[in-house]
Amino acid sequence: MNIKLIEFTIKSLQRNFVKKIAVIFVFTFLVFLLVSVLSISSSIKKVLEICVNELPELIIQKMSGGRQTLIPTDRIYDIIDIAGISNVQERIWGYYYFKNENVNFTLVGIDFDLQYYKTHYNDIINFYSSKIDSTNTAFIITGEGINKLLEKNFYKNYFVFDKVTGGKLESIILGTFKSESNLETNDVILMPQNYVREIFGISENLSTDIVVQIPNPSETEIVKQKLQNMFPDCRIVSRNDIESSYQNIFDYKTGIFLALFLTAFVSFFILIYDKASGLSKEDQREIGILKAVGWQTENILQMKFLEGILISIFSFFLGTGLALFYVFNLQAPLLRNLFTGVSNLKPQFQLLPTIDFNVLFLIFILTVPVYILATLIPSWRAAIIDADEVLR
Amino acid sequence: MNKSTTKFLFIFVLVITISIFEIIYYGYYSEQKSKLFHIKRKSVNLVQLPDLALSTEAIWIRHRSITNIFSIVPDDGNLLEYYPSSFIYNIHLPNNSELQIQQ
Repeated sequence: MNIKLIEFTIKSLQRNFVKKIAVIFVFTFLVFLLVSVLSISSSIKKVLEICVNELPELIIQKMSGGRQTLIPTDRIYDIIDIAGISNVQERIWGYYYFKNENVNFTLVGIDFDLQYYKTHYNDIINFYSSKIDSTNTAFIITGEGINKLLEKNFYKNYFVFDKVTGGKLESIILGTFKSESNLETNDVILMPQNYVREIFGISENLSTDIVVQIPNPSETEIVKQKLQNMFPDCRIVSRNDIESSYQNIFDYKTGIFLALFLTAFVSFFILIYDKASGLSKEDQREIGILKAVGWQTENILQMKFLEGILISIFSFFLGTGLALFYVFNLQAPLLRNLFTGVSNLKPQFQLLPTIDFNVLFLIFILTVPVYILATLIPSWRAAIIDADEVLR
Repeated sequence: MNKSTTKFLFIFVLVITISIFEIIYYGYYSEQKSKLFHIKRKSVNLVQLPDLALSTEAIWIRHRSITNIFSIVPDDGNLLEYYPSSFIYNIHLPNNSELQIQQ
């Protein structure tokens, strides 16, 4: 392919630029939408995949009538004897309904020694005060969303819980989670376990659920089966179950959006079909003239191939570039709402840059070669006819 | 090559170069060095709850450790399953007497 041919093709494009601009716009917009949605999805998915590895391998929940109930804490002693388990821990947590705002806070009881906790986790929390008598004073560490909500309701440095048994429990706000973890901690309140028990009215011999750590991942399913046999009244949720759950939700969400995309795809392929079904009179005359002045069929095909490549590659990369900028720099306004729930405590979160190269390649294959073929076939049809016939 | 052709080629190459640079930059964005990932990991490690604030149809709750794998609609001890109409909580809509007071 010589430089003169490239120059001629570019000039031909410039001459017909107004006609080509519609194709470039539709092509770019379609690629932009596809890449945007799939980038948002893969970005959120990646964050969740990373975080899911920090979750316990198994969660044991006692069920009664299809609902979760409190589990006796002494079951820990039976569980710890199972081979392959390194650690078993009771958990006290639940939802605390805050009626002023119609939201549920996730109240988590942590059985920690304050000094260890602060040295181990102080890089994820902004502490308001380091001097607090944790044994005699109830304190809480809140997510950023909750902190804003409490301030809005005039709880500046403290919050008063209503206990289920009646009465109040005042607690000091010791710190907040850093905003980077908003997605994970926006609605979370951490509190010493004994105070959470007091608020929810949970006695010492019961807990919300039990978590199990298993160092060897290949033993998880066996241990799960043993636990299921040991406690028929329990539901055992493994980390794999949670991962599958994520996958299902993303498939569902992305599927809904991609279904809407079908219309965009249909319009794109109608455009392609229209091009493939024949050339305009002007294009045919151009090919006729080129043949009359001595161009070979292969030269014409080369020119049309080059034209198709220039338009499709340009549109693909323009659409992809704009989509990545829109998603990772502008944080995808409007489109990101598709992937968020409708909770009153919807977290502000940052989309982390991740690219699924398989998806990009798939979009490329679906659009670029199809367009090139659609321009080549009618050109070939016109190019094989005699010049005088075309001109007549 | 005349001026306009050179300009056209320049724009074409520039757009493709910027896009390829973007793809490479975002594609190999180092998660290991990211402070953000570190904070997220530690937060989940501390709270120990699965996060599904996004992507669920969560209206009241986020952590889905009490629903089954295939459930899209959230599940909560206080809710009858399926939709906001079944909440036992009162949603704060101004009632007639409040409206009359405002008038």
